Amino acid sequence: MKHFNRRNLGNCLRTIPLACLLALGGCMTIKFGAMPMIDNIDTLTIGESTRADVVVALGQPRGNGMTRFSQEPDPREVWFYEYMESDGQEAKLDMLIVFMVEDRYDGHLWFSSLQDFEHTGLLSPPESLGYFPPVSELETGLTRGHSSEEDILAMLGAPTGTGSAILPPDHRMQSVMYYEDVQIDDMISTGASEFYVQMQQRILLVFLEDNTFNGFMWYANAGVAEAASTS
Amino acid sequence: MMKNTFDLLRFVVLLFVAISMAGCGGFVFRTGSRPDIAALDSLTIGQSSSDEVRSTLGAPFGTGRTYLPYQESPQEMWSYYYEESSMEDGRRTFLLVYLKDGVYDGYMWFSSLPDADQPANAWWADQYDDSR
Repeated sequence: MKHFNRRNLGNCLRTIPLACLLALGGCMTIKFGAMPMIDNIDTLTIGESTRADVVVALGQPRGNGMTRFSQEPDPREVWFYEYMESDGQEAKLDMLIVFMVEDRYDGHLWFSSLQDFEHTGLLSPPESLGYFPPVSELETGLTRGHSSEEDILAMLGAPTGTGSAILPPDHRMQSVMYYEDVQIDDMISTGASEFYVQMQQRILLVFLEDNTFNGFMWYANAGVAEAASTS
Repeated sequence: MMKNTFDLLRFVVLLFVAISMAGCGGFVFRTGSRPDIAALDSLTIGQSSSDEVRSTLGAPFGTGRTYLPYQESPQEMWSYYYEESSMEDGRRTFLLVYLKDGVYDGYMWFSSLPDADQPANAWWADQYDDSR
């Protein structure tokens, strides 16, 4: 059994892409899922656009789901779109959740790191690895309806990506700042056919209405990921 | 353009590429455990306690907080997550459970994993079969 802790994992990770690039000539791109046609989201109308309208506008969903919450106890159907691409140097993610009620479009939540930051006006995200905003300060340092986008950037730093949301039940347009961080704490190899990775994943979405802080959602996952040979 | 940020997806892709190039054959990458979506029906919004949520769904994979635009105050959130990836595809299930003052307050789940128990309606299942 071989351990790669955080200290020597860096060497391991630098070796892997180097080997890949040497072997692949740096020309391999891996893509999962299908990019939602988010530019068409404005063509949809709350309570009016049908399932067919949503498919025409956004494409076929890759998955589905359901949501219920106390303010709107009747279940809402969820359509799930996801896309990831990597060229061996970096990975970018695009996720879209569409809400449906009684076969009609009822809102969405979209966030993506596939944005060109030169077009968003935001600062470039920090180059240092393992950065995640101080979420413990969100509830005391930012005030709904008062804190500006500049206040958010000053407290949390530049986001990993951006997005938008129209959430039921109020259906007001929100812009989204998306932060993500993944840390690998330990990697264990039990032979040529298995790897175990102790990892942490942290996600933060910050909602803004009219460029003013309007809420957030964050979670921190921690667990073991397993890579096993299928042969 | 966005500066490079290391994340799990990148790590997974690099790991798979390295393994494949090493001639070790195919690999499947799994993270977390598949949440029991059907068990949500046994929970009652505004009544079930966090202990009942835990006994019904198991220990969460992660925890967090929400202050969504429609919520009057910040709330606790538990996350359940499962992912399966290979060099050809990667799919995942998210389950987010909302708790208010220690009481179950709702959920949101979404999944790209094909599972006969999970499609919410036949229409989507048909679409999924057509697009595979």
